[in-house]
Amino acid sequence: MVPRATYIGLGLALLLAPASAQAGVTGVAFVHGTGKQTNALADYWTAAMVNSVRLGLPVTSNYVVINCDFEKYMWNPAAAGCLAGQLTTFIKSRGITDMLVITHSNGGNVLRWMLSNPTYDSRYPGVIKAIRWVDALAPSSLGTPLANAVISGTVFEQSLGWLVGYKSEAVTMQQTDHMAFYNANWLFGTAGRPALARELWAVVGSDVDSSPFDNDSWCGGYSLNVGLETTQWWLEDCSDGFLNCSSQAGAGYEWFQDIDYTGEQEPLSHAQSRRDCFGLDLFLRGDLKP
Amino acid sequence: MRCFTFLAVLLCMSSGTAAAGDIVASAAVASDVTPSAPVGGPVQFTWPIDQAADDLDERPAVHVAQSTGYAQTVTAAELRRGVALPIAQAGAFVKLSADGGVAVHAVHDAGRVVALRRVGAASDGAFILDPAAGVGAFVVKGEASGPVRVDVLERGSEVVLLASADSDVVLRGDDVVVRARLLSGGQAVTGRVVARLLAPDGRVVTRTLTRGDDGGYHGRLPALGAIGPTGRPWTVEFVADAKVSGRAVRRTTTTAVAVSVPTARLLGTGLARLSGEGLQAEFRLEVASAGRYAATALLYGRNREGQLQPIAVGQTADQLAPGGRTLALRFDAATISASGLRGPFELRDVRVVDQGRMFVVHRQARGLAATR
Repeated sequence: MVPRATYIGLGLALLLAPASAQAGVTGVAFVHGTGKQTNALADYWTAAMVNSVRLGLPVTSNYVVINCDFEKYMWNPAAAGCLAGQLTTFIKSRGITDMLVITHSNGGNVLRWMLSNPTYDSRYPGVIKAIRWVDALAPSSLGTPLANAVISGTVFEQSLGWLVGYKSEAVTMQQTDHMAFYNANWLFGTAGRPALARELWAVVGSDVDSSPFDNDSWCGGYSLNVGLETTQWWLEDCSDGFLNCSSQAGAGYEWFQDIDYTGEQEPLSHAQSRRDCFGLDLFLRGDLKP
Repeated sequence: MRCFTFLAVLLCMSSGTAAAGDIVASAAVASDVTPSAPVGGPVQFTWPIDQAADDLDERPAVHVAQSTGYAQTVTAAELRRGVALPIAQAGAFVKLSADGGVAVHAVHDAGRVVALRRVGAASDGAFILDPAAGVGAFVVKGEASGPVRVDVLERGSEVVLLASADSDVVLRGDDVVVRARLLSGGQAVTGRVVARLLAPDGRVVTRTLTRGDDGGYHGRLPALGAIGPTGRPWTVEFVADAKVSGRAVRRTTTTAVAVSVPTARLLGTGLARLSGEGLQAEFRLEVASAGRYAATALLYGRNREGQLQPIAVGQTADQLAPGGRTLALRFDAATISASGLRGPFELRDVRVVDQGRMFVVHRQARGLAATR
């Protein structure tokens, strides 16, 4: 395991990259979570987040925002197949040799499928070889009890539609018992299993703030945070409103838990861990340094 | 295990000896499941790992589902008349869900109206029972226009249901062996535990589990029904009812089990030294259904104390037609050299999957190919 060091200074978060970072043409890919995206830049990440992170690149235009159908099972051609296609095009068109992949939520599972099943698709090896490592923001590595509830008929409020809107394949897959099966049989990187073909570093969100009088509750969307506060009843004391911390840290290595390094030790809800909230973008920016 | 020298390399072949917990088919069986579309021709990929042998489970750990709550589905008429809610933890969280919303009129305890603290919007049907009302048999009444899902979550409760299947993969025709324990304060509770195996085609097998001498429950559920959507495991539902200190308690949970058709069978593995000190593994298969098959294995070598330690993961896949076929996998000399480990080498945790149909057709921890 490569140690990672994180430093805070003068309000800026700076992360030192491991010495093993590959030399070459560095690029970054943003991989969204559950949902069928056609404009993930605007609808999922926001331009403010993406544009802030890519400032850490030597060539700031070497980035790609993935748009695939992650309502499907991770192995589906519309999911991992689409991801492999868009990453392959990015790698070839930009000559990328040192790619950092930033995933959010279920996007971590789709990428982990590729890293665990490199022979499933002849495009996978080329993508894997170009990856330096994966920064997985709140990955649903062990699934979530909310998915179990939705598949069994529980209906959550509209503001959670982007996560558990209906009984899609992706929601079915993220049931805790289904993820236990996939982790044991089709995926690497969880406890007791062999390591992934590339390192995956998880950022763990630990709580939800949703007070209308607290400005921090508005980052990432106030209504989304209110919805995530309700769902915490299904979850452990440490959760981001959608995932238990144990699920987020369930594969690869834990890079850090939000309050260890975010501004004013603010927790990152599941809606906030994909946005430029509380300095998260600065950590990711620092991680791009070759 | 047989070893011989062929073209100046040492080759050892083994059909291996399956042990408890392994998944080994007695014959290859054709499947009518249409494979999905993995892309491309033959692919091999290996990567080094720096984990110690102790870091790796020899076989997949059994997933144990744990529940301190329950869920049930009732009709709109039942909700109008009143649905019983056994509550074992004061201040339980309750949510009623229905298409079109649900209105909760009241919750009663022995005829008294219980105060509710709503959670979220009123239309969500989510509330917390007044902790002062304590535990016992509550009744909820309300209005909905269709089936209503009732979730009761009792965080922190000492009444816990633990449930598991002995194996998360069974071959079609085999039974799913399930176990459950209902505990209160860590002590086994006597009650009734029912398990239901739900096939993707809707077929359901229900069994009341038998209580064992250790206070746990066990049973066997035959895997009947069509295999279902590619890659989707089947669900086992557990419902436990008991009385603790004279009060009714209920717990429900689920676990997942995949039902595979052994569309190929592993006949044996080989591991050969190559010139340049690399190693080549071979997996001999009997294939019953054409498809794309992958073999994955961990390569182990020995440290200075002679202990086996993992070196690398290897995976190889190709499209295979029915008949006797072989998948080859090369571990390069540089990876082996960098590990500092040396022979005799072994392959462990060998798995064969039908990638297009998402079947796990072989899983074996030990007893496979080794070089001297």
